[in-house]
Amino acid sequence: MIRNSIALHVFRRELIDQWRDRRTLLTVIFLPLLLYPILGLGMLQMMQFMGEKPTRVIAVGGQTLTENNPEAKVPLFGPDGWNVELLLGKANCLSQLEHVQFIEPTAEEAARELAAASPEADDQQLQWRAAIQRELQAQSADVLLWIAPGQSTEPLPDNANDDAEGANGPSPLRVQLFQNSASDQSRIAASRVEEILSRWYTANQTAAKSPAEQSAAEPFHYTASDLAPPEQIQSQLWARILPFILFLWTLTGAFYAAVDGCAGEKERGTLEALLVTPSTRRQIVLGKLWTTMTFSLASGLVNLIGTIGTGLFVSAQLSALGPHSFPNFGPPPLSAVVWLLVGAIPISALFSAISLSVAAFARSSKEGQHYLLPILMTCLPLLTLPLLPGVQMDLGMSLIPISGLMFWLRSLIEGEYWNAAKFMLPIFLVNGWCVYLAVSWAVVQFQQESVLFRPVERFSIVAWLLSILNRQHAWPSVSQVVVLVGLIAGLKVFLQGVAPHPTDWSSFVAHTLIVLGGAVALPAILLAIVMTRNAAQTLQMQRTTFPMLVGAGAMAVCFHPLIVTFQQWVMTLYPLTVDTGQMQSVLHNILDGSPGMWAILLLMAVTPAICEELAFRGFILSGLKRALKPLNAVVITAILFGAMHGLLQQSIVASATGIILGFVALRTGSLWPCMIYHATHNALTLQFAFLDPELLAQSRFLSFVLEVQVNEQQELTGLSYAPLPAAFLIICGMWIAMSLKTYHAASTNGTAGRSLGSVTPSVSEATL
Amino acid sequence: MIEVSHIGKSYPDGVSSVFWALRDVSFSIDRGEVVGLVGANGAGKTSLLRILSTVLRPTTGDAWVGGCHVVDDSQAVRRQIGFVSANTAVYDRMTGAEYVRFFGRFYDIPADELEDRIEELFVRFRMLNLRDQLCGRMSTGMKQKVSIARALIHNPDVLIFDEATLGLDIMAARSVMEMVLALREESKCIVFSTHIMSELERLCDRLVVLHRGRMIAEGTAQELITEYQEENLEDMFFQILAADDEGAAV
Repeated sequence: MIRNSIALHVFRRELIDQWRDRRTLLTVIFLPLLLYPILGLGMLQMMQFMGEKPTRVIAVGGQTLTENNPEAKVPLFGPDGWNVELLLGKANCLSQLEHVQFIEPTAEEAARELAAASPEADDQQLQWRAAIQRELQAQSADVLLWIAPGQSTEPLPDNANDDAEGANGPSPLRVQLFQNSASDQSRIAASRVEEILSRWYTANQTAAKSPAEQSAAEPFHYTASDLAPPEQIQSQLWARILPFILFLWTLTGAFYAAVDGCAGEKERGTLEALLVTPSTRRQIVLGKLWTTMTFSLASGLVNLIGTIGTGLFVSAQLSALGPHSFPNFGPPPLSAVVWLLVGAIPISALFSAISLSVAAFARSSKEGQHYLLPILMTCLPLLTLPLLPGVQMDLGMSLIPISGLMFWLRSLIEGEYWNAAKFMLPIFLVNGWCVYLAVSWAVVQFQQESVLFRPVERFSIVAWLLSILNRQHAWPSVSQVVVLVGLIAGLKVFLQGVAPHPTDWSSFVAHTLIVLGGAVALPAILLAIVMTRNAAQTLQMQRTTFPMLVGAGAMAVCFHPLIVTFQQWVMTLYPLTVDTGQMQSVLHNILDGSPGMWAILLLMAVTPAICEELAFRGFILSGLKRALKPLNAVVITAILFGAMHGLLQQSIVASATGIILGFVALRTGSLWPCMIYHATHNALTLQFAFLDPELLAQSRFLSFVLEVQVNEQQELTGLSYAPLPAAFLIICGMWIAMSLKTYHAASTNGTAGRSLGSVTPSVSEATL
Repeated sequence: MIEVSHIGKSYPDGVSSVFWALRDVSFSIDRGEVVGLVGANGAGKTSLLRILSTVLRPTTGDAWVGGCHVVDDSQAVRRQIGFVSANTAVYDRMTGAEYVRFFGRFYDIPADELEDRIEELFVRFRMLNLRDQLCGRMSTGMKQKVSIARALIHNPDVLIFDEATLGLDIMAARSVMEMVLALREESKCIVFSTHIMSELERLCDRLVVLHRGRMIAEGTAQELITEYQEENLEDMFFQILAADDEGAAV
């Protein structure tokens, strides 16, 4: 009989062992708390790519529709596109179907050929379909809707009840929808167009008063044609499955090999013998990278062979049931296998480098294995991104690590070689850079004594709390910076959920203050008070001179053209989705209810400047600049600053601004100039967004400095700086940045080289 | 051959403080000399030997091996040393010869010469039975012999043994001692750290005593026994440590 007390005794010892293992605690308990808010922010960024894109439809013969079908009570098209009445009642439908391009049939023969098109295509019809495919590509359209006068009374397949009446009625129109089911965008477009056609059909029948009229009102006979050949549909299916399997298994294979090669070797004690050989740490890391890559490749390829073999078997079994049982499922094409073999090399290199850099940090295999899940959870969204329906390869997508590589491989398997070739350079540059960074980090880890010979750590909450309460630190440590970043991420997600949803000005004020104050400023201030000796010093609330404040504000003005140009480039790279555009128009409506521009500036320029600077250039940069090289500290702070912004476009621009702000903080050693810079920058951005076109037209100065983009209706669509004034301002900004230092050197009687932060109150002309 | 000058080594201890494993240690060792590094656990022996083998960087002070600085010219130092640690770590899935050959290739030894050297080492230390045996199937003593062969493959001038007999049974420890004695005959510069006083008496020309990171005594075994008026090395060692602890308490 098992003695429970003994089992309890063993349980207690095991529990103590796990509890004292700091890394286990971190990865099992604290990491998820940190990871999920960060994943939440990542999901917000991914929403950019998940937003539905507008559908482009070519309507052939659409403009003669009314003439050809005089009985129709409700028209399909209005003067500028779709009939708005049909689109109402479905969220975003208007924006999804806004692009309609009308083309009139050039020849009667074309219409006849279309009418003759059927699923059993002969050579002539194949040529016809190829011509339509070319037209779709030439017009960058998703589907082609052909509307032609009817020749027969063949009823719609899903309207069998109307057969008898329809057969005796007047000849209805023939509507044929051409789509490419191998393309996500085309499939989505087809479903949207079918929805509208269905509404049109129903609306006409509802508008008809008598059954006879209903019959007469039958507006069209509908046929859907798929332009995609079966092999393309099959390859599209495999183009999603196979790269995903390859990515997943190359990562898993790389990870276990890396953990065994780094943490395992530390654990077994064999690493020391290797370190005393006359090899450099880089050589050791490269050797381990190649080993990891070999296992990663082997793991990926073996699993691919398994998947392809299974695919062939299943395909053979299904084909025995008949050619029409599963027409879209077939064996993986040979070209897919070849491209997977080619693609496996860069993929395994990337995952091996990432795994190695993480595994080099682990003290033991057990600790190393705890890191697999966070890596997987970070990589999975990037792997999933290219699989989302409607997401297409573009320059912006190609610059995302892992996702770009996945897209490249998918394009090759789908036979879109031009697409793959076009973005190959940015994809390989970005992923190659990631490999380089990961390997460099692994080399750094191999040079760190604290990583190579890390003793067993014991976690004690009491000791940790005591160390916090003792306030022994003058500056935040890196781990305290991590705690703040986790708190900001977690609180931001939480408070955005519980704060009042911004629907009008007052709720918008409440929302902004709760999120910025509660999630950003308050944690930074509290941690600075609790964890460091001098909160004011930690938050860089040092005194500064009036010229520095003016200089920081002037720098923000001068560098604004640079940021605006960068922002426009980012917007070209990652265009705002329709949903995001609508969010912005909602924001404009809310701001219309504000008491005035002063209130907007106070809320959207000054408040973020204070709150965000306290956290980022205050607490975070204070801690990081003492643990890292100044440039690295500034860049990491800027990336964290960018990551805390909800939109990807906003994050990239914020990161760039964050680098300038970090520079200002390093130069001045004070947070006040950063706040002035930040507030001025925000204010200028807001002014840009709300600039009155009339004021712009009247002001000669503004007309000289700014360039205006207008649409056909002479509405203001965009604003940018004129090249000459922009160049002048940027040069001035650089001069101001340099003169901040010069001013300090002069004001401290030639003590050049001292940091600007060390300006004493006696030399301050006007201090805060 | 080895010059240690005011070496200090600290490690982070907790969140804010540091622990000094070595403080201001200075000594030198000539070619053909065997010096025993003796001290209780935590005295700083392993830290000092890891600094000499370039695996750790000193926090303060300098050290040179064969005229090369351990930090500035670490690659040259590594070519001159052979390092054997206490943990008998070998690659379990390699045979004895494969293991030694793997390390030999780091030193740019021509293939023929390397094979001859492996043969010579395995014959000389009577370990031919280990040549084709997987390291994972060897006893602890066998693994340590293979480790020593690995450290000697490039015929280094300086040998560093960090408690190389720790955990070995009496037969294995004697076998290792015989290997070190044989190397002594070749006028190698050897640093040997151990707890076992009999090994020190038998092997070492000179002793360096470390306690709590500081060097508290240096000299030949006989000189130290005479100085502290004890009958043997073990009693002398206790006497030195007790005197140092009393001094620290005062």
